[in-house]
Amino acid sequence: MLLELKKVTVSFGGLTAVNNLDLQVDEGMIFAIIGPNGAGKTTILNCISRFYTPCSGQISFKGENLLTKKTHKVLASGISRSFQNVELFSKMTVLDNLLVGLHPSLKSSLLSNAFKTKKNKQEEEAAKEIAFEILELFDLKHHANEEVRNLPFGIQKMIDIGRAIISKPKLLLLDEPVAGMNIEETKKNAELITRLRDEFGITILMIEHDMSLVMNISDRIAVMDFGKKIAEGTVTEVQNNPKVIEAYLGEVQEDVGT
Amino acid sequence: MAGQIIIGGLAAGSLYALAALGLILIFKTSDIVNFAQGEMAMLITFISFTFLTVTKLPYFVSFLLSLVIAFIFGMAVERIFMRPVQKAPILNQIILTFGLYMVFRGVAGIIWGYTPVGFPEALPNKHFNYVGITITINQIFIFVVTTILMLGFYLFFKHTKIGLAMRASSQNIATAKLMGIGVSSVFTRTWGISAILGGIAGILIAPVTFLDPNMMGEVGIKAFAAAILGGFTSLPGAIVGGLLIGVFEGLIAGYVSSELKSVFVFALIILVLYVKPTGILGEKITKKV
Amino acid sequence: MKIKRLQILFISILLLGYPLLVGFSSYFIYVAGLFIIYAIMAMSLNLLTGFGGQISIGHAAFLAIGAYTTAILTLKLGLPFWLNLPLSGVITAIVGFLIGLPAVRLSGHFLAIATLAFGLAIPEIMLKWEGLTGGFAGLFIEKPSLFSSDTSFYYFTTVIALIITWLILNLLKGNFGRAFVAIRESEIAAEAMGVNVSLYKTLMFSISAFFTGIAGSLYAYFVGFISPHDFNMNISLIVLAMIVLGGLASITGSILGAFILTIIPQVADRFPGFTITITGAALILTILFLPNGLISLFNYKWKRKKTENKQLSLEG
Ligand SMILES: Nc1ncnc2c1ncn2[C@@H]1O[C@H](COP(=O)(O)OP(=O)(O)OP(=O)(O)O)[C@@H](O)[C@H]1O
Ligand SMILES: [Mg+2]
Repeated sequence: MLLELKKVTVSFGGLTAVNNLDLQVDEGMIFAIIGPNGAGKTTILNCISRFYTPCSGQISFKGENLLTKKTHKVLASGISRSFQNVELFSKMTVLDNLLVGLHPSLKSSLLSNAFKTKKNKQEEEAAKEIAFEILELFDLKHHANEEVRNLPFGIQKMIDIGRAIISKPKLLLLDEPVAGMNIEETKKNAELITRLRDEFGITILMIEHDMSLVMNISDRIAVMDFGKKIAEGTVTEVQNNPKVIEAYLGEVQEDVGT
Repeated sequence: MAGQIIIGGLAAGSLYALAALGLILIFKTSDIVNFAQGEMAMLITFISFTFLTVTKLPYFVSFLLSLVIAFIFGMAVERIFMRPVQKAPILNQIILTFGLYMVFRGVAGIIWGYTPVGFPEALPNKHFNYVGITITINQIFIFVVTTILMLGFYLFFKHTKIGLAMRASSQNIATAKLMGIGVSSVFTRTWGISAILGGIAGILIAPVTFLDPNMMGEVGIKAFAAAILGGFTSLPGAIVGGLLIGVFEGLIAGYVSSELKSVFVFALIILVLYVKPTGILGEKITKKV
Repeated sequence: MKIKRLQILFISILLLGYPLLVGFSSYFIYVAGLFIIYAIMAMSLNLLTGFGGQISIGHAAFLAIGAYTTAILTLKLGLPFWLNLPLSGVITAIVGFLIGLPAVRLSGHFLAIATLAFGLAIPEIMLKWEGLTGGFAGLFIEKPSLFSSDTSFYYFTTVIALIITWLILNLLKGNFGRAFVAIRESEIAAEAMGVNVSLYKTLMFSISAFFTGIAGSLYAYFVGFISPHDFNMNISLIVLAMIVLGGLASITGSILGAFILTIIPQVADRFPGFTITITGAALILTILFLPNGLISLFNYKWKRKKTENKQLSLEG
């Protein structure tokens, strides 16, 4: 088991965003978390990537306790993430955005940076090569030197994922990877996600509202509602779970109402 | 001696509290810290001085007239300078208010020069002794003005729609919109009211500091200290913070060194910001990711 | 990238030839030396504020610490010049590190307030600490014997400034510079990408303070006299104005801004209130109408020309 959450509870003031959650993600899976808005999905990712600290419960990764890790140490331990509302460095170029993703693996010191030593130059060159491999994979090479803020949202989402995988993580957390994308882009991204798992061996924990994507590519699905996990299982198991149907029907009716 | 220092500290502190209140009102409604607040107050004090000396108006007439001008001035600054950067990066907003700070200071120097001049007190001087502590009639006047203003604000915020909207933090501006309040007019009026508060502080403190373009440098930073002690978003916090700063500064001047009293206030600011950025009355918040 | 190189090459040639142009006039060399020292300071501040997104309203305090370190080490301990210069940088960097600590927890306005308080406190402390600093009367420092004339020290300052420019440009291009800009753009994403945001913020403050400290040391030698008043709030604000007017996050912009705002006070200081008014107005107008600074005008034209050329060659 790669990632395990045990009895995790997160609250903000009076609001319990995640309530006593157990979750297990095995290596090589595409694991999806679904659930209505405000169910606490992003909060879970924020706990795993250590932006939030749960008020109780345990999180372990490869058997190690994650909760003792600082936020900036999470990437080096093999967990990377994308963001729900792309958190790119918008005034940096696409290439530089990717290179920041390599930050923990760039070892040359402040002085060798400042004096541009040979070692530093070599390291930079090697890093750029890796970045171009990613750009190739995402078919974004021609955008390499453009500022991210000038690119369409769909492409920004791709760069966000690219930046997350450049460090070759073991576990990738994706927060709504296809939100705001058209059908074409969604298809392309679905392929990409499966490729990441199959070719690069990256385990994926994904939050997504697009049901067809979730049902198509996930190995396992957890359903959240009001901070609680109300169901978990394979695609068919979840699809036939009466609780899930209820939660989603309830939501649909609300949507119609407003 | 301590009692005497505390009375003096409370009087000065009331004025810091008024200036801090102005800062906080603007910060709460529009997420902007107005670094030019003190300089705006200084200009208003000069205007009041001009009414007093050039047009020879009575004290209270020039006092009120300059507050009317303060209101218009504050609104004009918001409309002309702050409106265009409302959505700009915070850095740009900070820099803009520092630009205003410099221009106001410079312009005051060009018009009125840099020689400090005396400024009359509100009431003819008289003092009372009570258990060995002397209190002047002008100190009493400051307490009365501050108390009236605080009460006025309290009622205004509690019972008027626009007051409610002003009290709402910027996150709740959307709600204010739903209540049918023009948000942009709230911003504008907030700047107007903040300028009035600063102006009152400036006019009442000028007899002590003397009047010159740099007079609000120190007062301004003490208003910041007051606001920070109070957590920068709490109106009562500003008042408590102001009074504390006034007394703290008095005690340092009395028992440590009068030349170093500002340094201690500066150090206090850095310390509070470092140890408890949300102020002594503030609470912890989790940054939303 | 290339255009920046060219601009800097042009500037350095101009600086090295300048004493000949003005016939070694001591006043003109004095002004040019000041400009170079302020340019170092502006670049350092731009590294912190323009690139790193961390505002500092009290940067003159770092200049003061650098200058006083040099003066005190020279006068009280008799240390030589080649030791004083780096030591001033290091000591200022240590103070910068301490001031950077609050920055870890503060953002935007509150960092501005904290650095403002720092900038106000340092000159007052120096004023009061007479035994060490000479208080109001200030301190006199002689130029090092190796560069005892104004012109030779001017050349020395120019060389140091060029080295610092090179170092800063290297830093910005590498891993550290990327991390600094990343922090400005999104602290959350930077942290998620493994950047130790707290450490890097304090690092930025230290580096910026280090170079400003060097500038302070050069200032002490070059001007020959320092007093607390030389490092008041106005200086901090003028240097802030330099980087805004020239261009935030632009090294050549810092140099351009330093140039303009070193010249203006030379003329405007004769009329009290004018320097500060003009500088403030420059700040306001830049923020309102040209948020990327004057340098964006140059770079913009250059870029357009380059794409035009490309199109031409494609057609041809
Ligand atoms: N830092 C925070 N402070 C206060 N409340 C928070 C914070 N972060 C999240 N919340 C609250 O926790 C609840 C769960 O939020 P979360 O973002 O996890 O939902 P979600 O399932 O990701 O929803 P969506 O599908 O809309 O992205 C919400 O009510 C949200 O407002
Ligand atoms: Mg979410």
